Amino acid sequence: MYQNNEKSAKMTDSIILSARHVKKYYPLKSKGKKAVVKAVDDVSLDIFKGETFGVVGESGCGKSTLGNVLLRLEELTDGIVYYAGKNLINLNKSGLKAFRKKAQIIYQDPYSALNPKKKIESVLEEPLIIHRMGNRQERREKVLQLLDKVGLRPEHRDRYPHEFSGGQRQRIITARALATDPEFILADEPVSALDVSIQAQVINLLMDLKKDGDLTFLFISHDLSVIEHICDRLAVMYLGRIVETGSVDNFFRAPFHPYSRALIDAVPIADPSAGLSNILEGDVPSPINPPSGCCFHPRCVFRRDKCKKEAPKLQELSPGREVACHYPLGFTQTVEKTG
Amino acid sequence: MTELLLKMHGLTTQFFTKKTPVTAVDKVNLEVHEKQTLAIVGESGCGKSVAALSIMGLIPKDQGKITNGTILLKGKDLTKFTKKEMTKIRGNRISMIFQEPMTSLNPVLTAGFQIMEVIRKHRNMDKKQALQEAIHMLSMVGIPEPESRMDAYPHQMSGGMRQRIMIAMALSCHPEIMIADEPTTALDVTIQAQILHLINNLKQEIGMAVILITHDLGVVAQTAQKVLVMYAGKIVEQAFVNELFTYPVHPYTLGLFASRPMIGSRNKRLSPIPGIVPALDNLPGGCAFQDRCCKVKEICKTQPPPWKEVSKDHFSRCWLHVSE
Repeated sequence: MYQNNEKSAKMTDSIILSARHVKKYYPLKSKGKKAVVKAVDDVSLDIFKGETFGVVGESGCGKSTLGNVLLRLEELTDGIVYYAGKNLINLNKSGLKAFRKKAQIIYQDPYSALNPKKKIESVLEEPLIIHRMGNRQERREKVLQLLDKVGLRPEHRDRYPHEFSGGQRQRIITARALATDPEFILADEPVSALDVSIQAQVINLLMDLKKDGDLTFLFISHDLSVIEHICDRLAVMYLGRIVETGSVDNFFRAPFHPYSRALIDAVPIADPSAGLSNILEGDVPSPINPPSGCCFHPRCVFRRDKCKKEAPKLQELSPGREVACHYPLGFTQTVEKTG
Repeated sequence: MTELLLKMHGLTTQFFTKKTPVTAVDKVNLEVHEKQTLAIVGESGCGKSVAALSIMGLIPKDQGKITNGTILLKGKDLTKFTKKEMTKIRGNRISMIFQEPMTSLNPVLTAGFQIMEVIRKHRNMDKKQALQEAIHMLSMVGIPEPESRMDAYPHQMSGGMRQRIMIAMALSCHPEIMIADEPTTALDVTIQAQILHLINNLKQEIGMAVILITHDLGVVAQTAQKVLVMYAGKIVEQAFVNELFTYPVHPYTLGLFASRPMIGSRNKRLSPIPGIVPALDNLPGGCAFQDRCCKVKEICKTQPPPWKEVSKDHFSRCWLHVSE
């Protein structure tokens, strides 16, 4: 199993980012009792160079925290993250700055991610100044290139953020993320705050970037249809843990985890004859006091006694596909025989 | 045909700004029948919420008003009602649930208190009866252990639970019509499915009509019988749900369908609608959609398009349907 295979993860050069047993716990003080929220609990994953890796889950599942921890925007509680073979956790200040140049981020809310007092030109120039890229003349040319790349016009550089619509602001934020010619981009719900027609414009832009660059994307979203559209591989998170990973094609054809199945089924289909989707009962449990055994068992229709007692480990079921479930869909009989 | 509950005719709602008045809802006609779900679809700023607030009589007086048209609830014109009369309509006969259940509930009062308040105000019950009724409402909307949940505060509940409380409050006076303004937009997909299911079941159970306001065509397909598509304050297309999803005709509706990523359309380029929704105080002459329309003609720039029946019960507001 790959979790223990730390050496190979470090050496394989097509892997750009790899995480091993990453944990992020937030301490809580409630009524004098000490408690922890396990926002990210023992997550291991590999992201390959040039791919778009999606992380999907419902609110509170820890997907944004995972993104922040992987880029060291927050310090993790335990575990190791390698970026291009280097241990990210040990980086000092200058090492971290060099890493920031290579790994950039696009945020969800295009309204709060731009300084309202700065013109677009200085918004786009700032990363270039911070990373000492080019002289004034070169920087100006770079700004024009960036605007062109995201489909904005040269005269837009003299405007302020409030003069743009949500979709245009998301383009500006994307241009800013591209300013330092990064290798890796974390996109945290980049289209969730946008209207449908505008969302499509931004998705197309991201797909163009994906096509013509060597960019690697970590794409976080709650929207399975967006993930399916743009990602190559994905991980499904539930209550801080990865419950299934695999290629997007295989995943949507036949998910292994009952939660994955439920997520896919819950997406409303734009076909009136399809009828109402299947219902997953109950709410996401509190991460402060997670259920025993498999976290998903209180909502799972396939649960058995073992699920209440023993937490399933993430296991490779078929090449490149892992699932954390005692009785994965389509595999029930095999597991019964061996168990 | 089931009974006609609500008929809105030529409704125009304007907001006052420093310059000229802005028309947020422009001559909108709609009909709601018993046990029917009518969906109003559109992007932010198209006037769908303002239309709903107009029905409820909740347009803030200092900011705007209904300047034209009628809203007939079983033949009585709501726009002529006094403030006092409207209070009797709201909650009793038409009620509304909103997108964000957290901000619509009072955080310092228990869920039980807030439901009981509605029941006691509108249904003249004493405290004991109201308590029983409130518990009954909570179990009806699928809240487990309703007795103990009566004492819970909104922050102790999840988003889906809070939306159930809102629905319980909205239904506690057995309204004839429930207006749901983006009821599931703030919720996760699995919870969204639960709430949509609940609304559908309750509709059958109590026989009320639902006006569902949403931007999500998937939600429309699963719940509505009749659909209105709005753009810049006007209805641009109207049809029964099967017809609209099989033969959409207005370029804006077609654009909405094409820009939606769907499971199964992997890696295909989406066809977004170019440009952005125009500001309501700066609408172009002629058709409001002209700048974003891929089939724009000369006439669209000067003449507002006519409302035309393209097939039985299917209407669209576009010059494409008029042969020259």
